[in-house]
Amino acid sequence: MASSSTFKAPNGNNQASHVMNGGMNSGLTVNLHPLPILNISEHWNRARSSSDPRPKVLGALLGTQTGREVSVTNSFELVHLASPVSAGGPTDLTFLDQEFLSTRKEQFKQVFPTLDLVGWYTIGQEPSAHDMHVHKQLADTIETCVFLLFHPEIPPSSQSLPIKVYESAFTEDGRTEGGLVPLDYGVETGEAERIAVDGVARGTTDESLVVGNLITQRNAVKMLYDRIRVLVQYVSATVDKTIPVDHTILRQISAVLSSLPVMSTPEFTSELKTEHEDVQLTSYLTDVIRQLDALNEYAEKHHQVTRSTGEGLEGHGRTRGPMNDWAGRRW
Amino acid sequence: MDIARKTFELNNDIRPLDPSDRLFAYSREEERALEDSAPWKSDPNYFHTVKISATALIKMVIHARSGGIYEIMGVMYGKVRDHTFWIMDAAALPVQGTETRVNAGNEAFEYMVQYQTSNSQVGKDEMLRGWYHSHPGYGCWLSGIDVSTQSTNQQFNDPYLAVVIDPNRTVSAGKVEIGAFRTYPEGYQPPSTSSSEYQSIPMDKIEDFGVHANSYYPLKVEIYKSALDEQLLELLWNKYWVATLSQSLLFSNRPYATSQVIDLDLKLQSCCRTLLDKAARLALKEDDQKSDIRRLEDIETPLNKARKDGLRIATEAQNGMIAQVIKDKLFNTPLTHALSVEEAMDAVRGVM
Repeated sequence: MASSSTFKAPNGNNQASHVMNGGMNSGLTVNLHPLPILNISEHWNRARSSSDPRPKVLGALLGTQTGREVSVTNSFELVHLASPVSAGGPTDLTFLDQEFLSTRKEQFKQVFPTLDLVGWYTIGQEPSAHDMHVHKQLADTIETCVFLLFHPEIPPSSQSLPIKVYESAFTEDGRTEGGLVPLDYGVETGEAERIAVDGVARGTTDESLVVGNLITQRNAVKMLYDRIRVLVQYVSATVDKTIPVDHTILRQISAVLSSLPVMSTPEFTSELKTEHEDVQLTSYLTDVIRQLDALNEYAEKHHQVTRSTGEGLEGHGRTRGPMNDWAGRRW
Repeated sequence: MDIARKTFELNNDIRPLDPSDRLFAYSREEERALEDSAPWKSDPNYFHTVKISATALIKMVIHARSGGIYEIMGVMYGKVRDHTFWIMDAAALPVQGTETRVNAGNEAFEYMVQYQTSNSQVGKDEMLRGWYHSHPGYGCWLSGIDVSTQSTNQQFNDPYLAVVIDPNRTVSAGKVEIGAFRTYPEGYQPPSTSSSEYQSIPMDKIEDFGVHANSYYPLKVEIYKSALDEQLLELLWNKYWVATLSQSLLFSNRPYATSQVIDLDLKLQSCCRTLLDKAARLALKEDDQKSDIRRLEDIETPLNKARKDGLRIATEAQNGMIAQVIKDKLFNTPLTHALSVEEAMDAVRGVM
């Protein structure tokens, strides 16, 4: 995911003074899970429905950090204190309710012990002075503080999530002073999470498991196909000299291509074959059970019929029916 | 008038809420009126549907999966309206469950109260409307303990809902396995045995399942999301589709699939014994029960059930295999011959 940044259009306008484009970031990789993203969306929806005309949407991000990689897996809402008017400073700065934050943090720690506070989120297009103020309050208490900015108005043609992720900019001597630097982020999901998100996206349908599974596979293959097409178009355009040659991109494309076939060792092939045979065997055995069931049903009916038609059929299909034969077999 | 309003909205950048987004507004007064009349007291079947928000569902599924082989438990917040539960949010409880049961102690109740206080501080004023727990690998239904927990809650905290999630089957089927239930008052005879969809119950649970199966009924489960959620989900798919291709269901389900086959084996063995017994008895006794031939079709024999279980196991295995074969074709099967320029162009255009 991180490599996709090469294709990103350069961020032209530098009007927001809080973001230091080209500033040093600490090489942090951020992986967002769908849950916090949908949580923020819900938080925003709630805020809009509330009576407050200018609701402040603030929240904490929970996740794990391993090395320089942060996974954001959950989130919760935060509250801020009423601005202390008498403090002398600007009256509308936001102060986090630290007490609430630590209570909530403790509550989540009890049920999800592996999750730590890794950052915070708010709604907006560009980081503002208010945001900087909040960021500072949090960055003082946690080591790596990720700032997620969510912009709820998504342009219809947009292909990327309306999310920007920042961290504090580092100065030469390693101190976090001043602005923010943008970070790249990817999306990752756990298995159960992916299935739940898929289920939500598609809604409750009555289609069979097989059809549902095939649709999912088809959609994924189509995405792959669309992306390969983009690459092909890019290469064709380069060959036709309609766009300038970019060696970095071409090298990346070449690297992707040369990784095929992904697995060509004989061990893998034989493993796959075994797996395949196992699955076919499962199907075969299921068919056997199905036939036995049909046979049993037939035997049952046969028995009923012979019994109700009385003496005439005495001796037939009673004790030595097919059911009996089958049931006597060990397996 | 209408135009004037629209101009005003445009000039002031006011966006009307999508009708579906209205749901996020919560009015305690509105709900209280319904609570006062409490129609569910007189009609045990008053509630027939539960609508769960996207976030609440995802939270519950992730929580259930995080428990591994152990049962987990949590609570749900929401509102009631028009025969329907609207579940807006879910929260995990600090409860240590075992592989087969989970129950909330005093500590959990304390946590629940604190959590809800915090909820209302951030403007989530919804009431406690139910509980959820997981049945890792043995299906969505209520056990004896679950039934008594739920009926106690329906006596003292009604309206209250029980939700059960099976994380193992969710992953194995690639579809969220969830059930929502309410219990009947004691002594109530349901009009007809609610013929819910067949589900496989492991051998060692069948008794527990059978005894209580008529003391509760399932609610229809629906998921709702806002317009913004919908947009986000689409954009998310742009990012996580890779996971669909990179995960192998066969691999991640191996332990569960094995347990299913073992269970099926047990069931078949038991079928085998019953049939032997029956055959022996038939030889001895004559017409001790007058069963109606017409009803024979409706009776589900243990072998019928075993057949359905087997079919499910095989279908899931095939689903996993299909994915593997697709991947093998896509990424591991080199072309046997070099493509000519025309063929390559066709392939790019999707003709091939």
